[in-house]
Amino acid sequence: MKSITKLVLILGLSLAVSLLTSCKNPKTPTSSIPKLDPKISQAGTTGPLTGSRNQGTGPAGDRSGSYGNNNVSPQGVDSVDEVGFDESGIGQASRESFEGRPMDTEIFKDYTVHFDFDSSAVRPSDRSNITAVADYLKAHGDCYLLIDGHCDERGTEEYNQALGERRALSAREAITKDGIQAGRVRTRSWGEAKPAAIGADESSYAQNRRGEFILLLPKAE
Amino acid sequence: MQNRSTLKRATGGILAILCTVFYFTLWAQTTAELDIDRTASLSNRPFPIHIKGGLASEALSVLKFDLEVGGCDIVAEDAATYLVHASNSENITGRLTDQTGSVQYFNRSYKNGTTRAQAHALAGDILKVLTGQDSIFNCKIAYCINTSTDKNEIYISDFDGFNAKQVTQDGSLIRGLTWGAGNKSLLYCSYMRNNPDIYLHNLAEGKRSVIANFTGLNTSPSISPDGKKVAMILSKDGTPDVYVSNVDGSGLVRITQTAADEASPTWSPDGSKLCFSSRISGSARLYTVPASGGKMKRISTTGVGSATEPDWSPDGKSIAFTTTTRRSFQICVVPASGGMVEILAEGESPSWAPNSRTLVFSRKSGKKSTLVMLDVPTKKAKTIANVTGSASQPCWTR
Repeated sequence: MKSITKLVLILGLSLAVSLLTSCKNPKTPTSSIPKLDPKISQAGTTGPLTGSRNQGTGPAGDRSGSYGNNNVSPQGVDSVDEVGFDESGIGQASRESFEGRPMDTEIFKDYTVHFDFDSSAVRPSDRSNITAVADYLKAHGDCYLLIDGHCDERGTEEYNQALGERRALSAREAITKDGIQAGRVRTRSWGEAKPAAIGADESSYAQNRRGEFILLLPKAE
Repeated sequence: MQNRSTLKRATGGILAILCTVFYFTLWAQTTAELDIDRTASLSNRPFPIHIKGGLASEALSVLKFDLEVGGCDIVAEDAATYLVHASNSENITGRLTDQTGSVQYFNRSYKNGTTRAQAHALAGDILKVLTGQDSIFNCKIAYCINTSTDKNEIYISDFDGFNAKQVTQDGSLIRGLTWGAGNKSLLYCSYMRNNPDIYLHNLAEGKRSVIANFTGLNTSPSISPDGKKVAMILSKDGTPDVYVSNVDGSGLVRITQTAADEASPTWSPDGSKLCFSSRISGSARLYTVPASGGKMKRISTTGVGSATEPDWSPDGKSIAFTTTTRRSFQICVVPASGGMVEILAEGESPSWAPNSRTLVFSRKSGKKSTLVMLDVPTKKAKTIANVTGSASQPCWTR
């Protein structure tokens, strides 16, 4: 009797185990299939741009926050910040008006803005930096501005070039909302080519996802 | 007593048999599916090949390298399906047979050119028999050698890294490197005038002309299959969008008009469509658009979270691209109409060879980046060891 019980027990156990393992490994592979974004159906036509061109109108709204508040969130958040981006006044002025101007790369060093991972949205905490730069430009009407957009190294090169440009353009849009004419502001993307921090960790990455303001002084006569 | 124990044993035996049968039914169900997978990959196994005869060391190493890039496993004679009988006294002579030697596919001798060129030609003939595709071993690759994080120079070499020649000496940064019409020119974005601008670099004359130098971003040029148009990314009118112009930059047309950024356009081989990446849905995905403008259409890339740097295969059937995870880049292939993605290997910046079978891409390890070639059907990868610097943005002549 004992031997039968043992045998049944062993077989039953092995059966249970095999059933369990087969449950753990379902027959269909579990690759997560990303959902199609419902927004996509309405986007992507090449119709005319919506939004009117209202270059440099009025003072900015949001002036909250303290100066130099460059808090960097420890972990990036993927956000859909492009949908609804206002392209008003975004067309770039000709290169000639910017070229030949001496650059001051130091003056706005403490006013660098930072971005979340894979995002080009200006953080509310960086608004004060934008406003400070805008205020300086208002007080110095003969100066222009160059915004350099940068990325961390986790995107591919050409993708980062586009993302860096997109970041610089977001900063530019924010500056124009503070009353600076878009024609005075030029953007340039470096992708991941000029990291501020060399490390391959989140704190370095966070420092590298940034927009830097460079003052373009009046052309020397 | 004895009877009872016999009965017990018999019952136990029957039970054991029943359970075993049940167990194996389950087991068979799972393995049947494994077998299907295995059968599918069987047809894409590397070609087991053995090299016989007296090839000198240089010719032999060229032949081995080429065959491995082409999807062959160099094996012992008794494990080989194909035998290469090759020798070189002055010129290389080569013969391809089956394992027994009774079926001969070709017997050829090679004249003129260097030993390397002759060995490349023999390898090309062998792969033509095995894959039906024309040789890629006479092709060149262009790539950048990085001198620091924000500086690099363009080089052109044979596909295996030999006979490298430096093309630029700007001490600047190159992005979006690609070949121009007829492989007689290069197109790229350079920061040499302190802004990312697009240049056409005529290789015979060494002269450069500007294709696009608008305020903002000018990058990612891509020549149309007929050599008459250039697709590119500009931000002059808004966020980075896809544009198409003539090769001299005239006749510029804006193709996409999104509030998101687009990147890396590539042409369908018939020239009717462009594929590119866009962040319009929040993360980077692949889209197509008629090359003359029209509605954007998403290409589904089932199985991966992001897709950048598409390169349309010359046969039009598939699109290679890079997917980005938090820690690495992976080279992927998806049918041109979209569908399930095949993740092939770690790397970025893929470029198809004219055979629509071999990819070249770069792979970072630490601060150094190496060039890797991959035979897509067999998934055999081979590092281009002869490119010794930190190399990126490889692209194959087409």
